[in-house]
Amino acid sequence: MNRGLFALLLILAALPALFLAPFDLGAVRIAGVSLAWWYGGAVGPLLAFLLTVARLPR
Amino acid sequence: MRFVSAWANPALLLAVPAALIAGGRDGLWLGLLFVVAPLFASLAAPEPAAGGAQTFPPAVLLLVVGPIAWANLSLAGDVATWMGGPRWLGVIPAVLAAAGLALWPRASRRWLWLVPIGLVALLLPAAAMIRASGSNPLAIWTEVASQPAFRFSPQSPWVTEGRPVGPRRGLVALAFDEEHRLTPLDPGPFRVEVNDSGRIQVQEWTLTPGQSVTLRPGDRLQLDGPRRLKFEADRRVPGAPASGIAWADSSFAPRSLRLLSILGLGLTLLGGAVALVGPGTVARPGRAGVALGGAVLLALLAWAECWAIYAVRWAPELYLGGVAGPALLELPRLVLRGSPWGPLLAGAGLVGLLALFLAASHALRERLAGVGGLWAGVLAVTAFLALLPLEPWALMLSALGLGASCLAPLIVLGAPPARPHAATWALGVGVVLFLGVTAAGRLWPPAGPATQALVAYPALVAAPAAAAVLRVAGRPARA
Repeated sequence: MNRGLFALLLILAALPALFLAPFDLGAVRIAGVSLAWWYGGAVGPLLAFLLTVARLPR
Repeated sequence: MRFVSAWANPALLLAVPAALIAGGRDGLWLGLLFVVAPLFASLAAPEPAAGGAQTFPPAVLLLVVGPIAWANLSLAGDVATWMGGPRWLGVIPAVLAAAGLALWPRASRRWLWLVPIGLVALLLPAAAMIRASGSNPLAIWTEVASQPAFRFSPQSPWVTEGRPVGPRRGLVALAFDEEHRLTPLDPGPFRVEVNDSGRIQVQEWTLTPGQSVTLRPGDRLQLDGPRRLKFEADRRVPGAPASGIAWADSSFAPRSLRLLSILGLGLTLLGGAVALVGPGTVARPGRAGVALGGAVLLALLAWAECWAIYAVRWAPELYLGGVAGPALLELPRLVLRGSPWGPLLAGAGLVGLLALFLAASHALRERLAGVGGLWAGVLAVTAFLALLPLEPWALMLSALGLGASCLAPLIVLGAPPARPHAATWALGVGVVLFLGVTAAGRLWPPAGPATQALVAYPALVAAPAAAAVLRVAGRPARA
Protein backbone atom coordinates (compact mmCIF):
# COMPACT_ATOMS: atom_id res chain seq x y z
CA MET A 1 0.00 0.00 0.00
CA ASN A 2 1.01 3.57 -0.72
CA ARG A 3 2.98 4.91 2.31
CA GLY A 4 0.91 8.10 2.38
CA LEU A 5 -2.34 6.16 2.62
CA PHE A 6 -0.88 4.02 5.40
CA ALA A 7 0.20 7.12 7.33
CA LEU A 8 -3.27 8.65 6.97
CA LEU A 9 -4.80 5.44 8.33
CA LEU A 10 -2.42 5.63 11.30
CA ILE A 11 -3.47 9.23 11.95
CA LEU A 12 -7.09 8.09 11.92
CA ALA A 13 -6.45 5.04 14.12
CA ALA A 14 -4.81 7.18 16.81
CA LEU A 15 -8.18 8.75 17.77
CA PRO A 16 -10.03 5.48 18.59
CA ALA A 17 -6.82 4.36 20.33
CA LEU A 18 -7.05 7.50 22.53
CA PHE A 19 -10.74 6.76 23.24
CA LEU A 20 -9.90 3.23 24.37
CA ALA A 21 -6.53 3.93 26.00
CA PRO A 22 -6.16 2.89 29.67
CA PHE A 23 -6.25 5.38 32.56
CA ASP A 24 -8.58 7.63 30.52
CA LEU A 25 -5.59 9.06 28.67
CA GLY A 26 -7.86 10.92 26.23
CA ALA A 27 -9.35 12.92 29.12
CA VAL A 28 -5.99 14.37 30.22
CA ARG A 29 -6.23 18.17 30.08
CA ILE A 30 -3.71 20.23 28.12
CA ALA A 31 -4.27 23.99 28.34
CA GLY A 32 -7.78 23.28 29.67
CA VAL A 33 -8.86 21.04 26.79
CA SER A 34 -8.76 17.22 26.78
CA LEU A 35 -6.14 15.33 24.77
CA ALA A 36 -8.83 13.56 22.68
CA TRP A 37 -10.38 16.89 21.67
CA TRP A 38 -6.96 18.40 20.86
CA TYR A 39 -6.09 15.42 18.70
CA GLY A 40 -9.44 14.79 16.99
CA GLY A 41 -10.33 18.45 16.59
CA ALA A 42 -7.01 20.04 15.62
CA VAL A 43 -3.78 18.02 15.61
CA GLY A 44 -5.03 14.97 13.66
CA PRO A 45 -6.73 16.90 10.83
CA LEU A 46 -3.78 19.29 10.53
CA LEU A 47 -1.26 16.42 10.43
CA ALA A 48 -3.32 14.65 7.75
CA PHE A 49 -3.48 17.85 5.70
CA LEU A 50 0.28 18.50 5.89
CA LEU A 51 1.12 14.88 5.11
CA THR A 52 -1.17 14.75 2.06
CA VAL A 53 0.17 18.01 0.64
CA ALA A 54 3.74 16.79 1.14
CA ARG A 55 3.04 13.45 -0.57
CA LEU A 56 1.42 14.88 -3.70
CA PRO A 57 3.43 15.92 -6.77
CA ARG A 58 3.54 19.65 -7.61
CA MET B 1 -10.91 23.07 -4.54
CA ARG B 2 -12.88 21.06 -7.09
CA PHE B 3 -12.21 17.82 -5.24
CA VAL B 4 -13.85 18.99 -1.99
CA SER B 5 -16.93 20.59 -3.58
CA ALA B 6 -18.93 17.37 -3.83
CA TRP B 7 -17.75 16.30 -0.38
CA ALA B 8 -18.46 19.51 1.58
CA ASN B 9 -22.19 19.38 0.91
CA PRO B 10 -24.64 20.68 3.57
CA ALA B 11 -26.06 17.25 4.53
CA LEU B 12 -22.60 15.93 5.39
CA LEU B 13 -21.30 19.20 6.83
CA LEU B 14 -24.24 19.75 9.23
CA ALA B 15 -23.86 16.18 10.47
CA VAL B 16 -20.47 17.13 12.01
CA PRO B 17 -21.68 19.75 14.55
CA ALA B 18 -24.80 17.62 15.16
CA ALA B 19 -22.58 14.61 16.00
CA LEU B 20 -20.33 16.74 18.24
CA ILE B 21 -23.34 18.12 20.13
CA ALA B 22 -25.16 14.80 20.45
CA GLY B 23 -22.17 12.50 20.95
CA GLY B 24 -19.62 14.84 22.56
CA ARG B 25 -16.25 13.09 22.37
CA ASP B 26 -17.67 10.35 20.08
CA GLY B 27 -18.54 13.02 17.49
CA LEU B 28 -14.83 13.80 17.03
CA TRP B 29 -14.52 10.64 14.92
CA LEU B 30 -16.90 12.03 12.28
CA GLY B 31 -15.10 15.40 12.44
CA LEU B 32 -11.70 13.78 11.84
CA LEU B 33 -13.09 11.63 9.01
CA PHE B 34 -14.72 14.68 7.41
CA VAL B 35 -11.22 16.13 6.82
CA VAL B 36 -9.12 12.98 6.38
CA ALA B 37 -11.44 10.98 4.05
CA PRO B 38 -11.19 13.30 1.00
CA LEU B 39 -7.43 13.70 1.60
CA PHE B 40 -7.15 9.89 1.64
CA ALA B 41 -9.19 9.77 -1.58
CA SER B 42 -6.91 12.33 -3.25
CA LEU B 43 -3.93 10.03 -2.57
CA ALA B 44 -5.86 6.88 -3.55
CA ALA B 45 -7.08 8.34 -6.88
CA PRO B 46 -5.41 6.65 -9.87
CA GLU B 47 -2.18 8.12 -11.23
CA PRO B 48 -2.50 9.55 -14.77
CA ALA B 49 0.29 7.20 -15.87
CA ALA B 50 -1.69 4.23 -14.56
CA GLY B 51 -4.60 4.89 -16.83
CA GLY B 52 -6.04 8.12 -15.37
CA ALA B 53 -9.73 8.19 -14.65
CA GLN B 54 -11.69 4.96 -14.75
CA THR B 55 -15.12 4.77 -16.31
CA PHE B 56 -18.03 3.12 -14.53
CA PRO B 57 -21.55 2.23 -15.62
CA PRO B 58 -23.90 5.24 -15.22
CA ALA B 59 -26.25 3.18 -13.04
CA VAL B 60 -23.44 2.65 -10.50
CA LEU B 61 -22.49 6.33 -10.47
CA LEU B 62 -26.16 7.19 -10.00
CA LEU B 63 -26.33 4.96 -6.90
CA VAL B 64 -23.82 7.30 -5.24
CA VAL B 65 -24.65 10.69 -6.79
CA GLY B 66 -28.46 10.32 -6.61
CA PRO B 67 -28.79 9.72 -2.85
CA ILE B 68 -26.35 12.59 -2.13
CA ALA B 69 -28.57 14.98 -4.13
CA TRP B 70 -31.61 13.45 -2.41
CA ALA B 71 -30.07 13.92 1.08
CA ASN B 72 -29.36 17.59 0.41
CA LEU B 73 -32.80 18.31 -1.05
CA SER B 74 -34.36 16.46 1.89
CA LEU B 75 -32.35 18.73 4.20
CA ALA B 76 -33.72 21.76 2.29
CA GLY B 77 -37.23 20.39 2.95
CA ASP B 78 -36.40 19.92 6.65
CA VAL B 79 -35.15 23.53 6.86
CA ALA B 80 -38.43 24.76 5.34
CA THR B 81 -40.44 22.68 7.86
CA TRP B 82 -38.29 23.99 10.72
CA MET B 83 -39.04 27.54 9.54
CA GLY B 84 -42.76 26.74 9.71
CA GLY B 85 -43.45 26.24 5.99
CA PRO B 86 -44.27 23.21 3.83
CA ARG B 87 -41.40 21.01 2.58
CA TRP B 88 -41.75 22.04 -1.06
CA LEU B 89 -40.87 25.62 -0.08
CA GLY B 90 -37.33 24.42 0.66
CA VAL B 91 -37.03 21.70 -1.98
CA ILE B 92 -38.32 23.53 -5.08
CA PRO B 93 -36.19 26.74 -4.79
CA ALA B 94 -33.08 24.61 -4.07
CA VAL B 95 -33.67 22.36 -7.08
CA LEU B 96 -34.46 25.33 -9.34
CA ALA B 97 -31.24 27.07 -8.25
CA ALA B 98 -29.24 23.88 -8.98
CA ALA B 99 -30.90 23.49 -12.39
CA GLY B 100 -30.33 27.20 -13.15
CA LEU B 101 -26.63 26.85 -12.33
CA ALA B 102 -26.38 23.89 -14.71
CA LEU B 103 -28.18 25.71 -17.53
CA TRP B 104 -26.60 29.17 -17.23
CA PRO B 105 -23.18 28.90 -18.93
CA ARG B 106 -21.64 31.99 -17.27
CA ALA B 107 -22.57 30.84 -13.75
CA SER B 108 -21.48 27.36 -14.67
CA ARG B 109 -17.94 28.64 -15.45
CA ARG B 110 -17.59 30.44 -12.11
CA TRP B 111 -19.20 27.86 -9.83
CA LEU B 112 -15.98 27.28 -7.87
CA TRP B 113 -16.46 30.74 -6.29
CA LEU B 114 -19.49 29.33 -4.50
CA VAL B 115 -17.22 27.44 -2.07
CA PRO B 116 -15.42 30.53 -0.64
CA ILE B 117 -18.74 32.44 -0.61
CA GLY B 118 -20.32 29.61 1.40
CA LEU B 119 -17.32 29.41 3.72
CA VAL B 120 -17.37 33.15 4.49
CA ALA B 121 -21.14 33.14 5.03
CA LEU B 122 -20.75 30.30 7.54
CA LEU B 123 -17.70 31.72 9.33
CA LEU B 124 -19.27 35.17 9.75
CA PRO B 125 -21.90 34.11 12.34
CA ALA B 126 -19.32 31.94 14.13
CA ALA B 127 -16.97 34.96 14.42
CA ALA B 128 -19.86 37.13 15.64
CA MET B 129 -20.76 34.59 18.34
CA ILE B 130 -17.13 34.40 19.51
CA ARG B 131 -17.00 38.21 19.71
CA ALA B 132 -20.36 38.52 21.49
CA SER B 133 -19.53 35.85 24.07
CA GLY B 134 -16.28 37.62 24.96
CA SER B 135 -14.28 34.40 25.20
CA ASN B 136 -12.58 32.08 22.74
CA PRO B 137 -13.83 28.57 21.88
CA LEU B 138 -11.12 26.89 24.02
CA ALA B 139 -12.26 28.81 27.12
CA ILE B 140 -15.89 28.01 26.31
CA TRP B 141 -15.01 24.30 25.91
CA THR B 142 -13.39 24.34 29.38
CA GLU B 143 -16.47 26.10 30.78
CA VAL B 144 -18.82 23.52 29.19
CA ALA B 145 -16.70 20.57 30.36
CA SER B 146 -16.94 21.77 33.97
CA GLN B 147 -20.72 22.39 34.00
CA PRO B 148 -22.49 20.24 36.61
CA ALA B 149 -25.67 20.02 34.44
CA PHE B 150 -27.31 21.51 31.35
CA ARG B 151 -30.25 23.62 32.54
CA PHE B 152 -32.87 25.92 30.98
CA SER B 153 -31.84 29.54 31.37
CA PRO B 154 -34.59 31.94 32.58
CA GLN B 155 -34.22 33.86 29.27
CA SER B 156 -34.61 30.76 27.10
CA PRO B 157 -37.44 31.04 24.54
CA TRP B 158 -38.51 27.53 25.66
CA VAL B 159 -39.13 29.07 29.13
CA THR B 160 -40.43 32.55 28.30
CA GLU B 161 -42.74 31.92 25.35
CA GLY B 162 -42.69 28.14 24.67
CA ARG B 163 -41.43 26.44 21.52
CA PRO B 164 -42.37 23.39 19.40
CA VAL B 165 -40.63 20.24 20.61
CA GLY B 166 -40.82 16.80 19.03
CA PRO B 167 -39.78 14.82 16.02
CA ARG B 168 -40.63 15.68 12.40
CA ARG B 169 -40.91 11.93 11.85
CA GLY B 170 -41.34 8.96 14.20
CA LEU B 171 -41.81 9.00 17.93
CA VAL B 172 -39.60 10.44 20.65
CA ALA B 173 -39.73 10.30 24.44
CA LEU B 174 -38.39 13.12 26.64
CA ALA B 175 -36.92 11.59 29.81
CA PHE B 176 -37.09 13.77 32.92
CA ASP B 177 -34.37 13.36 35.56
CA GLU B 178 -35.89 15.73 38.09
CA GLU B 179 -39.28 17.24 38.95
CA HIS B 180 -40.32 19.54 36.12
CA ARG B 181 -43.39 21.74 35.65
CA LEU B 182 -44.43 21.62 32.00
CA THR B 183 -47.03 23.73 30.21
CA PRO B 184 -48.36 22.52 26.85
CA LEU B 185 -49.51 25.47 24.74
CA ASP B 186 -51.43 23.45 22.14
CA PRO B 187 -54.62 21.49 22.83
CA GLY B 188 -54.52 17.70 22.56
CA PRO B 189 -53.76 14.60 24.61
CA PHE B 190 -50.63 14.49 26.72
CA ARG B 191 -49.12 10.99 26.99
CA VAL B 192 -46.66 10.23 29.78
CA GLU B 193 -44.88 7.00 30.75
CA VAL B 194 -45.08 7.16 34.52
CA ASN B 195 -42.55 5.32 36.66
CA ASP B 196 -44.42 4.29 39.79
CA SER B 197 -41.89 2.54 42.09
CA GLY B 198 -40.47 0.59 39.15
CA ARG B 199 -43.86 -0.10 37.52
CA ILE B 200 -44.18 1.61 34.12
CA GLN B 201 -47.64 2.69 32.99
CA VAL B 202 -48.74 5.08 30.27
CA GLN B 203 -51.14 7.80 31.39
CA GLU B 204 -52.97 10.12 29.02
CA TRP B 205 -54.26 13.51 30.12
CA THR B 206 -56.16 16.15 28.21
CA LEU B 207 -55.07 19.60 29.30
CA THR B 208 -56.48 22.94 28.24
CA PRO B 209 -53.85 25.27 26.65
CA GLY B 210 -51.89 27.01 29.41
CA GLN B 211 -52.66 24.36 32.06
CA SER B 212 -49.53 22.87 33.67
CA VAL B 213 -48.51 19.41 34.74
CA THR B 214 -45.66 18.33 37.02
CA LEU B 215 -43.54 15.42 35.84
CA ARG B 216 -41.47 13.43 38.33
CA PRO B 217 -37.97 11.96 37.95
CA GLY B 218 -38.12 8.87 35.72
CA ASP B 219 -41.23 10.03 33.82
CA ARG B 220 -41.06 10.08 30.02
CA LEU B 221 -43.19 12.36 27.86
CA GLN B 222 -44.13 10.68 24.54
CA LEU B 223 -44.20 12.96 21.50
CA ASP B 224 -45.23 11.78 18.02
CA GLY B 225 -44.87 15.20 16.37
CA PRO B 226 -43.89 18.82 17.11
CA ARG B 227 -45.82 20.17 20.09
CA ARG B 228 -45.48 23.67 21.64
CA LEU B 229 -44.25 23.30 25.21
CA LYS B 230 -43.15 25.70 27.94
CA PHE B 231 -40.48 24.45 30.34
CA GLU B 232 -39.42 25.52 33.83
CA ALA B 233 -36.30 27.69 34.30
CA ASP B 234 -33.19 26.27 36.02
CA ARG B 235 -34.30 22.65 35.46
CA ARG B 236 -32.25 20.06 33.58
CA VAL B 237 -32.85 19.91 29.81
CA PRO B 238 -34.38 16.47 29.03
CA GLY B 239 -32.16 14.54 26.63
CA ALA B 240 -29.00 16.54 27.43
CA PRO B 241 -25.92 14.71 28.78
CA ALA B 242 -25.79 14.28 32.56
CA SER B 243 -22.99 16.86 32.94
CA GLY B 244 -20.34 18.78 31.04
CA ILE B 245 -17.69 16.20 31.83
CA ALA B 246 -19.98 13.40 30.54
CA TRP B 247 -20.29 15.31 27.24
CA ALA B 248 -16.57 16.09 26.96
CA ASP B 249 -14.96 12.85 28.10
CA SER B 250 -17.44 9.95 28.04
CA SER B 251 -18.80 7.70 25.36
CA PHE B 252 -22.56 7.17 25.17
CA ALA B 253 -22.38 3.86 23.28
CA PRO B 254 -21.50 0.44 24.79
CA ARG B 255 -17.88 -0.60 24.16
CA SER B 256 -18.68 -3.58 21.89
CA LEU B 257 -20.92 -1.47 19.63
CA ARG B 258 -18.46 1.44 19.72
CA LEU B 259 -15.57 -0.46 18.11
CA LEU B 260 -17.65 -1.79 15.21
CA SER B 261 -19.38 1.57 14.74
CA ILE B 262 -16.01 3.34 14.59
CA LEU B 263 -14.85 0.85 11.97
CA GLY B 264 -18.13 1.01 10.03
CA LEU B 265 -18.28 4.80 9.90
CA GLY B 266 -14.58 4.94 9.00
CA LEU B 267 -14.92 2.45 6.13
CA THR B 268 -18.12 4.11 4.86
CA LEU B 269 -16.64 7.62 4.78
CA LEU B 270 -13.21 6.64 3.47
CA GLY B 271 -14.70 4.45 0.73
CA GLY B 272 -17.41 6.98 -0.04
CA ALA B 273 -14.82 9.73 -0.45
CA VAL B 274 -12.75 7.52 -2.77
CA ALA B 275 -15.89 6.88 -4.85
CA LEU B 276 -16.69 10.60 -5.02
CA VAL B 277 -13.19 11.85 -5.80
CA GLY B 278 -12.03 8.88 -7.89
CA PRO B 279 -14.25 8.54 -10.97
CA GLY B 280 -14.88 11.49 -13.24
CA THR B 281 -11.61 13.22 -12.45
CA VAL B 282 -9.22 13.26 -15.39
CA ALA B 283 -6.19 12.99 -13.16
CA ARG B 284 -5.70 13.00 -9.44
CA PRO B 285 -5.70 16.52 -7.93
CA GLY B 286 -2.35 18.29 -7.74
CA ARG B 287 -0.63 19.71 -4.66
CA ALA B 288 -2.06 23.23 -5.05
CA GLY B 289 -5.61 21.92 -5.47
CA VAL B 290 -5.37 19.64 -2.44
CA ALA B 291 -3.73 22.41 -0.35
CA LEU B 292 -6.58 24.80 -1.16
CA GLY B 293 -9.29 22.14 -0.73
CA GLY B 294 -7.70 20.86 2.48
CA ALA B 295 -7.60 24.41 3.90
CA VAL B 296 -11.34 24.72 3.16
CA LEU B 297 -12.00 21.41 4.94
CA LEU B 298 -9.97 22.52 7.99
CA ALA B 299 -11.89 25.82 8.09
CA LEU B 300 -15.22 23.96 7.86
CA LEU B 301 -14.17 21.60 10.67
CA ALA B 302 -13.20 24.62 12.83
CA TRP B 303 -16.63 26.11 12.05
CA ALA B 304 -18.39 22.87 13.03
CA GLU B 305 -16.44 22.63 16.31
CA CYS B 306 -17.17 26.26 17.24
CA TRP B 307 -20.82 25.76 16.36
CA ALA B 308 -21.06 22.65 18.56
CA ILE B 309 -19.22 24.15 21.55
CA TYR B 310 -21.30 27.35 21.51
CA ALA B 311 -24.51 25.35 21.05
CA VAL B 312 -23.81 23.16 24.08
CA ARG B 313 -22.87 26.21 26.16
CA TRP B 314 -25.59 28.66 25.13
CA ALA B 315 -28.40 26.56 23.68
CA PRO B 316 -28.64 23.14 25.40
CA GLU B 317 -32.35 23.25 24.44
CA LEU B 318 -31.20 21.88 21.05
CA TYR B 319 -31.03 18.47 22.79
CA LEU B 320 -34.83 18.45 23.18
CA GLY B 321 -36.22 15.65 21.01
CA GLY B 322 -32.79 14.88 19.47
CA VAL B 323 -30.25 17.18 17.81
CA ALA B 324 -31.62 18.12 14.37
CA GLY B 325 -29.43 19.69 11.65
CA PRO B 326 -31.85 22.46 10.58
CA ALA B 327 -32.33 23.62 14.21
CA LEU B 328 -28.57 24.32 14.41
CA LEU B 329 -29.03 27.21 11.98
CA GLU B 330 -30.89 29.08 14.73
CA LEU B 331 -27.82 29.14 16.98
CA PRO B 332 -26.82 32.81 16.32
CA ARG B 333 -30.33 33.89 17.38
CA LEU B 334 -30.08 31.85 20.57
CA VAL B 335 -26.57 33.05 21.45
CA LEU B 336 -27.20 36.72 20.58
CA ARG B 337 -30.60 36.82 22.34
CA GLY B 338 -32.34 40.16 21.83
CA SER B 339 -29.79 41.44 19.29
CA PRO B 340 -31.11 42.49 15.86
CA TRP B 341 -28.02 40.78 14.34
CA GLY B 342 -29.12 37.32 15.50
CA PRO B 343 -31.70 36.65 12.72
CA LEU B 344 -29.39 38.24 10.10
CA LEU B 345 -26.51 35.99 11.09
CA ALA B 346 -28.81 32.95 11.09
CA GLY B 347 -29.76 33.99 7.53
CA ALA B 348 -26.06 34.23 6.62
CA GLY B 349 -25.62 30.61 7.73
CA LEU B 350 -28.50 29.60 5.49
CA VAL B 351 -26.94 31.46 2.54
CA GLY B 352 -23.64 29.68 3.24
CA LEU B 353 -25.31 26.27 3.14
CA LEU B 354 -27.14 27.15 -0.08
CA ALA B 355 -23.86 28.20 -1.72
CA LEU B 356 -22.20 24.94 -0.64
CA PHE B 357 -25.20 22.97 -1.93
CA LEU B 358 -24.96 24.66 -5.34
CA ALA B 359 -21.21 23.99 -5.52
CA ALA B 360 -21.81 20.36 -4.54
CA SER B 361 -24.62 20.00 -7.11
CA HIS B 362 -22.30 21.24 -9.86
CA ALA B 363 -19.51 18.91 -8.75
CA LEU B 364 -21.93 15.96 -8.66
CA ARG B 365 -23.11 16.88 -12.15
CA GLU B 366 -19.49 16.74 -13.30
CA ARG B 367 -19.23 13.19 -11.89
CA LEU B 368 -22.01 12.24 -14.30
CA ALA B 369 -20.34 14.03 -17.22
CA GLY B 370 -20.56 12.01 -20.40
CA VAL B 371 -23.95 10.62 -19.41
CA GLY B 372 -25.86 13.26 -21.34
CA GLY B 373 -28.76 15.05 -19.71
CA LEU B 374 -28.90 12.63 -16.79
CA TRP B 375 -28.43 15.42 -14.23
CA ALA B 376 -31.82 16.97 -15.05
CA GLY B 377 -33.44 13.59 -14.43
CA VAL B 378 -31.55 13.14 -11.14
CA LEU B 379 -32.72 16.57 -9.94
CA ALA B 380 -36.33 15.92 -10.94
CA VAL B 381 -36.54 12.49 -9.30
CA THR B 382 -34.69 13.46 -6.10
CA ALA B 383 -36.77 16.66 -5.75
CA PHE B 384 -39.92 14.55 -5.89
CA LEU B 385 -38.51 12.06 -3.36
CA ALA B 386 -37.34 14.87 -1.05
CA LEU B 387 -40.95 15.93 -0.53
CA LEU B 388 -41.25 12.86 1.72
CA PRO B 389 -39.61 13.41 5.11
CA LEU B 390 -36.54 11.16 5.28
CA GLU B 391 -33.46 11.58 7.46
CA PRO B 392 -30.75 13.32 5.32
CA TRP B 393 -27.92 11.71 7.28
CA ALA B 394 -29.32 8.21 6.65
CA LEU B 395 -29.46 8.96 2.92
CA MET B 396 -25.93 10.33 2.98
CA LEU B 397 -24.63 7.20 4.77
CA SER B 398 -26.39 5.02 2.16
CA ALA B 399 -24.81 6.96 -0.71
CA LEU B 400 -21.31 6.83 0.77
CA GLY B 401 -21.77 3.19 1.82
CA LEU B 402 -22.76 2.20 -1.72
CA GLY B 403 -19.74 4.06 -3.06
CA ALA B 404 -17.51 2.30 -0.53
CA SER B 405 -19.00 -1.11 -1.39
CA CYS B 406 -18.91 -1.06 -5.17
CA LEU B 407 -16.68 1.74 -6.53
CA ALA B 408 -13.95 2.12 -3.90
CA PRO B 409 -12.52 -1.44 -4.23
CA LEU B 410 -12.21 -0.93 -8.01
CA ILE B 411 -10.54 2.46 -7.66
CA VAL B 412 -8.10 1.43 -4.92
CA LEU B 413 -7.22 -2.06 -6.26
CA GLY B 414 -7.70 -1.24 -9.95
CA ALA B 415 -9.69 -3.28 -12.47
CA PRO B 416 -7.63 -6.25 -13.77
CA PRO B 417 -7.02 -5.65 -17.51
CA ALA B 418 -6.75 -9.40 -18.26
CA ARG B 419 -10.17 -10.14 -16.74
CA PRO B 420 -12.66 -7.35 -17.54
CA HIS B 421 -15.55 -9.38 -16.10
CA ALA B 422 -13.94 -9.33 -12.64
CA ALA B 423 -14.84 -5.62 -12.28
CA THR B 424 -18.47 -6.32 -13.19
CA TRP B 425 -18.62 -9.18 -10.70
CA ALA B 426 -17.12 -7.02 -7.93
CA LEU B 427 -19.56 -4.18 -8.66
CA GLY B 428 -22.49 -6.60 -8.60
CA VAL B 429 -21.43 -8.28 -5.35
CA GLY B 430 -20.87 -4.89 -3.68
CA VAL B 431 -24.29 -3.53 -4.65
CA VAL B 432 -26.24 -6.73 -3.93
CA LEU B 433 -24.62 -7.31 -0.53
CA PHE B 434 -25.07 -3.66 0.49
CA LEU B 435 -28.75 -3.60 -0.46
CA GLY B 436 -29.31 -7.11 0.92
CA VAL B 437 -27.88 -6.30 4.37
CA THR B 438 -29.85 -3.03 4.46
CA ALA B 439 -33.11 -4.80 3.54
CA ALA B 440 -32.49 -7.62 6.03
CA GLY B 441 -31.92 -5.03 8.77
CA ARG B 442 -35.26 -3.37 7.96
CA LEU B 443 -37.17 -6.68 7.86
CA TRP B 444 -35.58 -8.24 10.95
CA PRO B 445 -34.36 -5.47 13.31
CA PRO B 446 -31.07 -6.67 14.83
CA ALA B 447 -30.73 -7.33 18.55
CA GLY B 448 -27.00 -7.78 19.23
CA PRO B 449 -24.39 -5.00 19.02
CA ALA B 450 -22.45 -6.69 16.19
CA THR B 451 -25.51 -7.11 13.95
CA GLN B 452 -26.67 -3.56 14.81
CA ALA B 453 -23.35 -2.17 13.59
CA LEU B 454 -23.44 -4.33 10.42
CA VAL B 455 -26.94 -3.11 9.57
CA ALA B 456 -26.01 0.52 10.33
CA TYR B 457 -22.88 0.23 8.12
CA PRO B 458 -23.46 -2.51 5.48
CA ALA B 459 -20.17 -1.53 3.80
CA LEU B 460 -18.47 -3.50 6.60
CA VAL B 461 -19.66 -6.66 4.80
CA ALA B 462 -20.07 -5.50 1.20
CA ALA B 463 -16.75 -3.68 0.64
CA PRO B 464 -14.41 -6.53 1.76
CA ALA B 465 -16.55 -9.02 -0.21
CA ALA B 466 -16.33 -6.90 -3.38
CA ALA B 467 -12.56 -6.53 -2.92
CA ALA B 468 -12.19 -10.30 -2.44
CA VAL B 469 -14.23 -11.02 -5.60
CA LEU B 470 -12.09 -8.56 -7.55
CA ARG B 471 -8.90 -10.29 -6.36
CA VAL B 472 -10.14 -13.83 -6.96
CA ALA B 473 -11.94 -13.25 -10.27
CA GLY B 474 -9.11 -11.02 -11.51
CA ARG B 475 -6.39 -13.68 -11.26
CA PRO B 476 -4.95 -14.56 -14.67
CA ALA B 477 -6.01 -18.01 -15.90
CA ARG B 478 -3.42 -20.81 -15.66
CA ALA B 479 -2.00 -22.05 -18.94
